[in-house]
Amino acid sequence: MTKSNKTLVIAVILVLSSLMVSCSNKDAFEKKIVIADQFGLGYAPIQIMKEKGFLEENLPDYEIEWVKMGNASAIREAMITGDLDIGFMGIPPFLIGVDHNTPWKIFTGVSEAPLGLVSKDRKIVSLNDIQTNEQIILPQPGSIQHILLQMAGKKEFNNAQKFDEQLLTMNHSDGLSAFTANNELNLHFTSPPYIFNELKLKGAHLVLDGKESFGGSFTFIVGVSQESFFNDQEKYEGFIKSLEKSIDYINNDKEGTIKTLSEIYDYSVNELEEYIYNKETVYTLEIKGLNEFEKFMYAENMIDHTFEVKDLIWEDEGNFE
Amino acid sequence: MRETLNKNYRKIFIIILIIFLWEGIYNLNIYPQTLFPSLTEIIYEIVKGFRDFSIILSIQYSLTLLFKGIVLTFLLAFISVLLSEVSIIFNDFLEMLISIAHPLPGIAIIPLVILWIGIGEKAILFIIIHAMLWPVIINLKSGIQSIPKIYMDLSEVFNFSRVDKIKHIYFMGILPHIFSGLKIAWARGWRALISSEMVFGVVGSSSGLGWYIFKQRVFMNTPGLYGGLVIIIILGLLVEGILFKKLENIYIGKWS
Repeated sequence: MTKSNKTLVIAVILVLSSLMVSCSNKDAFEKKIVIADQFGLGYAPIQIMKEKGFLEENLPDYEIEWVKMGNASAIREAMITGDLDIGFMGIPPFLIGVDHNTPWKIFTGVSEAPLGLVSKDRKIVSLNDIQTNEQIILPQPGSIQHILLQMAGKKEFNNAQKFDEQLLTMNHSDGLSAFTANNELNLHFTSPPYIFNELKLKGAHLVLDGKESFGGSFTFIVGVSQESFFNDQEKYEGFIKSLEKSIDYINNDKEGTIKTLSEIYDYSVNELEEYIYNKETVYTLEIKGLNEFEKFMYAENMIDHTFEVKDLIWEDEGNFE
Repeated sequence: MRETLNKNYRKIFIIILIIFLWEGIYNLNIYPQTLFPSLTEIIYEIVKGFRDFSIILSIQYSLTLLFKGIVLTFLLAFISVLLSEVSIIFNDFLEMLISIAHPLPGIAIIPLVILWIGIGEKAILFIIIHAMLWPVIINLKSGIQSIPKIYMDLSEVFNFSRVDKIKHIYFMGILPHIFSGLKIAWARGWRALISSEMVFGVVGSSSGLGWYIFKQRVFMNTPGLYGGLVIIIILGLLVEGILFKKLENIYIGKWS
């Protein structure tokens, strides 16, 4: 065997063995829960649960790992590979996952929140005033913000794709900087806390309220898991109990909540109070609006299949409206 | 001749090996098939992308933007290198700037880019120029340093004008470095382009390959995502293996 052939054989063996090792690593710890959430106040109960150690209290024998992820796609991929037990996201990215056979369902709601399209151009008061050269910043196609914009397009112009050619996708914080700093960018479809920051800018106002385009209130963030988590009663009940405790904590201990969250978000006490304790932000396990999102996304070809509630929620009863 | 033939065979062998390895892993179900699709699915998505023009338009957009970036980068690089040859102060300034800017990844300076440049095509162009400019300048400068002193002396003896000096001594002397700079620019610019397109995504007609890949990921079309990556690899092979080789043979071959 020549030297180069030997190197090749060694390289192949190394690649194959590293594949095997990476596969056998999974599921090494039985008593472990890996949880992923994202940035934003819609996830506040999860952040409170983590900071106050409520889950560790209820599941003392478990190793809990908290992961912060940049978007729902990463959560979806980690869930498929089995690296995640629980993930949190908006309903539309969850539906896209189900549509592509991601083995997951919703097991709880987390929050309702004021989402909306903010404009800093005084001339843009309604969707009718948006010119075709105007760009609209939002997180990504298929996000809840995008679907709400499409719903408004459908209602106002009977064309869900009306603004699709004008989208500029950026994560919320980049979007906030772009919206604040750039004179040509006047429209941003965003969620708390970013929406509150923007509405404070000179001349900024809400062009479209998420509820208006949806036609009522809807769940912003849901908790999603694989079947193995839901079937493990100890894990599941421990988590739900901790989530309920976190929500109670937010509702009953204003001062503690604000203090805890101010360590994560760079906002003043007054700001946080205003952002969390307003009548539109509701933390609840209830799941609202799932059917409407599913029907709309199917009708607009964002998903290829229709689903019944039992395909989407682990428990076909309880907190579903 | 035999040597090249053998080399080509080896390359084909490696590609076939990768294909077999891929299909083997797919069939063994080592990874979830939703994240690790088969080659047939990937090829189907590529063909679909070509048939509905979405891939062609993305390639066209990305390559045009990269071409603009490369032209501007070389323009800026030539000007800065020339200025640093005539002015010591500018040379110091340039060296300082390089040591500050060169280590900064484009993605890390995005908040600054948004602040200064804004978003969309201009911002992507800025990020790819940032990725290419500093290594190209370093390359050109070392090219000038490597020009043998005797050429300079000759140009003095024959009383070359400044323009002739630049044209015949500097330009010809650094030609190989221009080519290696071009290769670096292509590799670094291409990567910066794809990743910044994923950040400044524009839906609609004007969007490139990075956006194409991002969109496939968001809508969970994993074979489409890999299709986008395959296109990037193929474009890389075509540009480096064919275009650069040809250019090198034409321009450098006759000087070496």
